[in-house]
Amino acid sequence: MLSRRVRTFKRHLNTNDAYNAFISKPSSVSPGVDGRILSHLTYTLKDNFMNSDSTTCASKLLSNFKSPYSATAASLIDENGGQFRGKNNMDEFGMGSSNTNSYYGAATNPKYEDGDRIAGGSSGGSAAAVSAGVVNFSLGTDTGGSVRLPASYCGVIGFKPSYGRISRWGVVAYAQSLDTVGILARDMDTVEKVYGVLNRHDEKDPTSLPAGIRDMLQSVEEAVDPGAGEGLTIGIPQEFLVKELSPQNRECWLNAVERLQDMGHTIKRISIPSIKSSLSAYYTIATAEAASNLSRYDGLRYGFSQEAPEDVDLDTVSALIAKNRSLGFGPEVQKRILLGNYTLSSDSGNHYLKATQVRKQLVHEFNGIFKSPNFLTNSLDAQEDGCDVLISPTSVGDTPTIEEFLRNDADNFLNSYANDLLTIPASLAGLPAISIPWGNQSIQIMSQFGNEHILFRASRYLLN
Amino acid sequence: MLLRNLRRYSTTSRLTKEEVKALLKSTHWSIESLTASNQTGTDAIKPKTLSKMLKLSGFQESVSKEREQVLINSLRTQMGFINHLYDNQSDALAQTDEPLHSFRLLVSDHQPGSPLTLNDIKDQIKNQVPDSTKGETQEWGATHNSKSNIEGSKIDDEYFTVKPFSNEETK
Repeated sequence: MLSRRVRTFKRHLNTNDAYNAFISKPSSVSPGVDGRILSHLTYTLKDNFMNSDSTTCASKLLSNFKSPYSATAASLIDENGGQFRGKNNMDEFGMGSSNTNSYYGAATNPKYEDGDRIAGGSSGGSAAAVSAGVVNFSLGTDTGGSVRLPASYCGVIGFKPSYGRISRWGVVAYAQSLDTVGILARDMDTVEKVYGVLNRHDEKDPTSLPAGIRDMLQSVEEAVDPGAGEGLTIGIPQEFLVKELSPQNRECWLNAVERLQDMGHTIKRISIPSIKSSLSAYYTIATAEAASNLSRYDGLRYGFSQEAPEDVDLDTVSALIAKNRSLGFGPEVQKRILLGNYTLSSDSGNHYLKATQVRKQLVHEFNGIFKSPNFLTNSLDAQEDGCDVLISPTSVGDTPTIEEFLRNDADNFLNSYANDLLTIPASLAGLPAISIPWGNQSIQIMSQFGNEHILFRASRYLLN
Repeated sequence: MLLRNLRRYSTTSRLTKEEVKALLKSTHWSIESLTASNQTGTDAIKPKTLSKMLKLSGFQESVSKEREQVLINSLRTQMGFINHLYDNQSDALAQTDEPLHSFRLLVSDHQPGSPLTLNDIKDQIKNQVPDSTKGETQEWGATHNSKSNIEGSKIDDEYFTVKPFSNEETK
C-alpha cells in the first residue's frame, strides 16, 4: 500500500523536470530587459502566487483556475527585470512540510542523487528549482517554516521577513495571521537584492507595514546596531535542545557557534519558556484560519466542479458544493479544515483565543531577550545585555526519504508537526528568520521584529 | 509588571567554548511529550460529532466506516495535542486580568490611528474607482454574472432579491 503511494508520488508530469519541481511553465519566455536591478536573473513562483499563468495551489480544486490579477510581489519582480520561468510544486494550499501533499505528485530533492528524498515543504518545488540551478531565485510562502525547511533540506538559502514586510496581495491565503512571502536563492547577494525590491508598503494589503512604521523600524534597528565588523551577541534558546535533535544537527549547531566565537562574537544561553507551547498554539491558529480561508472554494464560481453549475437545480446546490469540496480537496487539506472547524466550534472550547494568548506571551518573552526594542508592539525598553540574533539548526531531523516520511506520518500525523518546532516560534512572533546551508545541514538565524539588516549581517559572517 | 516578567527571560553570562559544548550536548525536553498519542478527555468526539463537522466544513457527510474512524482518530489526536496549550502556564499568563482578545501582529492593533468617521467612510465610497490591478473592471457589477431566472426574482443593476412564494402561489 505504502509503496504504491510512493510510486504515485514519484510520478512526474513533465519529463524535462527531473525533480517534479514545476506545475506549469510559460509557453514563451521573454528575453528580459537590461538596466534593472533584477535584469538577467531568472525566477519562479510557488503556485500560490497569482500572475497571468494558471494558479493551482497544487490542488485539484483550482486545477483550472486563472486569476484576473497578479500578486504585487510578482509584479514588482517583473517590473524590476526578473525573468519568469514558471510556477512551482508545493503542498496543497501550503499544508505540509514534505511536498507530498500535492495533486501533481511530490517534488524530489536535487541534493541527493538517489532521487528518493523529500524536498521539504510546503515550498518544495521552489527549493528544488533553486537547488538544481534551474533559476536564480524563487518566491515561496512561509507560514510556519515553509520556506526555511525546504531550503534547509535542499541546501539553499531560505529567508522569511518580518510579518507585513512583503505584500501578500494576490497570494492565496492559508493562515492569514502567519503567512509571509519568502525568498529562496543560492547566495546572499540575490536574497538581499530581491528583498530590496519587495520591501515596500502595499496599500492593497491591509497587513502590509505602513511607510512610517518602516522608517521607525529602521531607526530603531540603527540605534541598537553594533555596526559592521563589531561583535554581535548571539543567543542559544535552551528550549530548542530537544531529545529528538539529530546528532548531525547538534554537531552542525556546535560547529557554527564555535566559528562565531572564533570571530569574537558573544554567545549566551537564553530561555523562551513558551516555545514548548508554540507547536500546539501554531496548529490551533493555522488550522482554524485555514478552515475559514478555504470555505470560499465551492467550485461554482471558479475552480473544479463535478457538474456544470448551470445544469444544476438550485435545490441541489449545497449537495454539489459538498461534492466539489470532497472531490477537489486532498485528504490532508480536508483533515485540516475539519480540525480547524472543530477547534473553532462550541463543541470543543475556546482554544483559538487561548492559542493567541500563548502567542502574545511568546512575543513578550522574545522582547525580553533581544537587545532591540519591538517597535510594532510598543515594547520600547531596550535590553542592554540582550541578544542581536538567535542561532539554532533549521530542522530537528535529517532529510528523510519519501517512504520514511510517509511511514512516519501514517504512524502518527503529529510526527510531521514535530519537525516544525525550530521554525514555528519566529512565525508566531512575526520575526525575520533565515536558513543558511552549513555543511550538509542548515543553520537558522532569527532577529527582533524589523531587524532584517542585522539578520543579513550575521548570515554573511557565517557564509563568508 | 510586564518589564519584570521580561527581565526573567534574559541572561547575562557569556559562555566559554567548553560551556557551549556542554550546553549543546544537553537535552532540555522532548517533543514526544507533546506528540505521544494521548486521547484522554476526547471521548466526546463520536460519529455524530464528525458528521456535524463534515457538514459545517461543506463536505459530504457520507463517508466509509474506515474513513470515519480515521477522521475521528485524527480529531481525538489533535485535541489531545491542543490540550498542551494549557501546560507550562507562566504566572504572567495565568494571572492576567486583561480582557480576553485575539492577539495579532497588526500595526492598527498596537498603534491605533484616528478612528474613521462616517464622513471619512462616505468620502472613501464616493471616491472609489475600479482598480485594474485588483482585477476590477469598469463594467463589473455584483449581479452581472448571475444567470438565475428564478420565478419571482428581481434583478436590476444594483440588487438581486428572491421573492418568497406566497401561500397562494404554492397551492
